Amino acid sequence: MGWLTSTLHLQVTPAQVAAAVRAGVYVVLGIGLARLTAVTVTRATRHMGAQERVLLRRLASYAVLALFLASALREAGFRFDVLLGAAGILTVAVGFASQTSASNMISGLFLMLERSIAIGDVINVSGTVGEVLSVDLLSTRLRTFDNLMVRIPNQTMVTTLITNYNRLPIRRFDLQVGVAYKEDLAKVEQALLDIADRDPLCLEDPAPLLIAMGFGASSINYQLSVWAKRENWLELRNRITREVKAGFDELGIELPFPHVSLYTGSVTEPFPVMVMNPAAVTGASAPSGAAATPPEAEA
Amino acid sequence: MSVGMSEAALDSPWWGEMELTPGELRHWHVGPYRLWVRAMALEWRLWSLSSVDAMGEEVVLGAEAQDAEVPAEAALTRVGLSSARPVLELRPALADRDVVVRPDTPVAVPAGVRLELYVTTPVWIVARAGGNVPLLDEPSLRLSDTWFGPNTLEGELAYAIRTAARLELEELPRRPHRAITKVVVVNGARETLVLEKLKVPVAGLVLYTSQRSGLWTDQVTLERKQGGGVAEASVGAGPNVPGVDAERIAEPRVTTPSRFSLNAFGRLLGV
Repeated sequence: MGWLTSTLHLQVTPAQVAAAVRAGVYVVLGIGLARLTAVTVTRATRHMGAQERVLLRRLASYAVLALFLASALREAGFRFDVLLGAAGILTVAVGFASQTSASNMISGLFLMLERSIAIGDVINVSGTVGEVLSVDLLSTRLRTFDNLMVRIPNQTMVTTLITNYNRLPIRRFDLQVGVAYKEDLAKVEQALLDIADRDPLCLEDPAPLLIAMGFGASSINYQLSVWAKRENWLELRNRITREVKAGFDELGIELPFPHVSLYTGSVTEPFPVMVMNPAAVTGASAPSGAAATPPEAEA
Repeated sequence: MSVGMSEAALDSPWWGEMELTPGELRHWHVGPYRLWVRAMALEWRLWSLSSVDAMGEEVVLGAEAQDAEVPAEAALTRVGLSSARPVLELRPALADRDVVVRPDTPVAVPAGVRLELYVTTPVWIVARAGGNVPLLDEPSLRLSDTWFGPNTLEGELAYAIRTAARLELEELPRRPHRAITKVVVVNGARETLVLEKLKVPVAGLVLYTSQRSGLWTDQVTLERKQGGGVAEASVGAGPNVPGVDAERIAEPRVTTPSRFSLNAFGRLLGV
């Protein structure tokens, strides 16, 4: 220590050294006690939800740490009355500087109190779908299903539309299906309802719903709405699509591709078709791919 | 050993213990449910398959089987044990959720009438290795899921079955994989009550075996009071059917007092 004071030309008194040691002890003790508090609060709040547990744990440990840091600063000779004297100016300065952060913090508190989302929920925020990992003081962290971490500011979370997929125990899937115009619609409707009835993942109540959506360009369109237990929703979605295809194939019901009908100007006459000699095509001056016009069609 | 379902099958129940030879494949068939079991030195292998034939009556008890007989679609369960004792115990158990029973045709219960009806629900097959090690617990027949509640926000998940809801016990077909529940409906209101569906709280009932008449559950009583809305639902101790010598075989999955308010009457009946 002597070489340091002589080098820096400092005059450190034993009282100052003792104060610095005390401040250090406060810091170490504060960190230790904050961790102990976090563990204790986590254990004591086992009956609560993950969200509340994280919030309480952080509040308690930060409060303990703040107290000890304040004590350490006082021991180190930091005068809080000076800080309080400058508080007015400081508040304005800090207020301007941390406007966004403060907004995020308050939004985070609202999010926690509102309980619209919880840790572990699968949510959709403006098109980003993922599992909620944490709702922190400033932001909410999501893990998307392709394993990307997304950080969303709490202010955005409060002002944007959020869809929570985990909140309710049952969920509906709407299957859009089109059938050919030639089909017997009563038979189609019965086939769709029978398929839903046979699938054990499809809830019997609420009952499957069949809606005729109208006449499409190439098909008559239906919507088959079936309900499933939330955990089975994806499986039902895959199964019901497979079952409808298999069921329609078995019953000979056509699932049409988009159809385009071409008519001649007179509507009734078919298009004339002529098989060309490849050699003649090569030698012709007509552009490649263009069909030669038969003489009778020109008439 | 194959047993055609009739009095003979009821006389020789499919549950119980059986000692297996290590490495040997054995086969059980209980109504729509089929099970193949092989006990190995440190592992159990169980292949199970449930057909869609809800009316299945065949019973096969631990017959010797060949690997080629196991269908490819059978689900395989492997359980590793530090020291496998080749004793297999098969037990029936009631469903792990309540069952919503919907009669094929709604039954009208006029005012002041006390009605007894019988409904049957498929049992779960519970397999354990010697030393009470759980191996398997699955339905003998895959039941359709359903939601039971006033709307899609409030309610609970249950299983759904359709039943003839027979009023005469003698008319009830006996099947090895189904347990019978006697439901007593008392309509104390002034209006006729139409039973379109009712929830049988099987998860809270005791399962019994009867020497001569298969599997039974506790009796369930639903009583509609004069006012119409308020009612009491209770579970009786035992099947409460004359001539049925009930012996307790499985405890309720949900621990409940012997007599309790199950739910509002309207919720049990879905009205």
